[in-house]
Amino acid sequence: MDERAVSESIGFIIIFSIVVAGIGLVSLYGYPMLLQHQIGADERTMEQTMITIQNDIKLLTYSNVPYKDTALRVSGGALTVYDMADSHQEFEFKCWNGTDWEELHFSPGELRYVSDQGTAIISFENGAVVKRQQDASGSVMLAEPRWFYDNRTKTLVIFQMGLAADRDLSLNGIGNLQMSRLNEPDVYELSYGPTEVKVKYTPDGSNDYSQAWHNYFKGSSIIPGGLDDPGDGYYVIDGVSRVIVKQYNITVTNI
Amino acid sequence: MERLNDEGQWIVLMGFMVCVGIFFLAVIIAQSTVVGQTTSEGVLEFPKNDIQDLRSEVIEIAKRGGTSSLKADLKTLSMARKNAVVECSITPGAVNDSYYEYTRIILHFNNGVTEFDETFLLSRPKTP
Repeated sequence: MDERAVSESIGFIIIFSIVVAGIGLVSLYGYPMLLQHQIGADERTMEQTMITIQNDIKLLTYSNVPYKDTALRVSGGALTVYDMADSHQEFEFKCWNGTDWEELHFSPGELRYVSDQGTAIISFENGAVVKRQQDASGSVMLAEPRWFYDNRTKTLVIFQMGLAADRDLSLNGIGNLQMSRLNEPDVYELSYGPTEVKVKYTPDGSNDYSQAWHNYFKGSSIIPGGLDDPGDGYYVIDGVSRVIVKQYNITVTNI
Repeated sequence: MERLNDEGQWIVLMGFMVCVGIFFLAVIIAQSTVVGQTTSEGVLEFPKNDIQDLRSEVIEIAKRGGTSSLKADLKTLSMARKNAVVECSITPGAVNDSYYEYTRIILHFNNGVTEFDETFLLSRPKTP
């Protein structure tokens, strides 16, 4: 082979510049992408953690377990407990008793995860796991509460889950979520024959999950075809002969 | 100039293949936690014992003639303890043949996740 004009130094320079360019590309584009991926993974992990918390609360409420203890890891953000008294969102029920509307107001409190670097906010709110992005108006329900309408007995069953904490609680990192439910739920049972029931969700102004709840009320989870939406904020279900609203109070003792 | 020794290239290639393999395994492991969670939820939430308990109680009530106050108690208790809407109707002597009299039991159970309906004929020999 003819090896004139072949220089080791030129070869070295070419290889070296390729290596430097490679390192530069990785630190310019690859590393931020990796970080972004990490934020996404943190948020996804938190979604699953929230669903685990929802399952624990299901055990506390539906299965009558008094205490529940969960180890969890909150990364890339903070998980905060909002007491029922501090919560701004409200669920309202109205039931026509023949002459008057019977009203029931409930502020459920909240377990809220806010991502530090990312934009996701994930909450446990009144039995549901909901998610939204900061600075965006939409929201989505990741896991639904167990409200249902029994078509055969015309019974509407609604479970409300309130969170109570006697002090401000928040977690970042590895921790233990201790919850208890020691009181019997408050049960409101109304049976007036076929009547109309209205449901309204008033969001917390700074943390609006109304789209998620709208989709839940309009979807086929409670009744096939969804609740009627006349547009005044109330969702209506007609022909209900028995309404049962169960309000559970869950105490978050420590986190 | 000395030529490059390229006899070890398959080692590099194998390295790449192992990397790709590990990547796919990682994806599968990431999925498995989700699958395990949903499956265990499904098992946890299925109210097999609730339905069996209710069924045995209702059949017992039907054997004793089907008193209505017990049925009302059952309905209230199911709502209070099991969060389930329950309705049952017991009709003694709904069906007859030459040897047996049948009590018809219609059972309805709904706890928001599982809905269960059953029609059951309980036989009792006719006294000759």
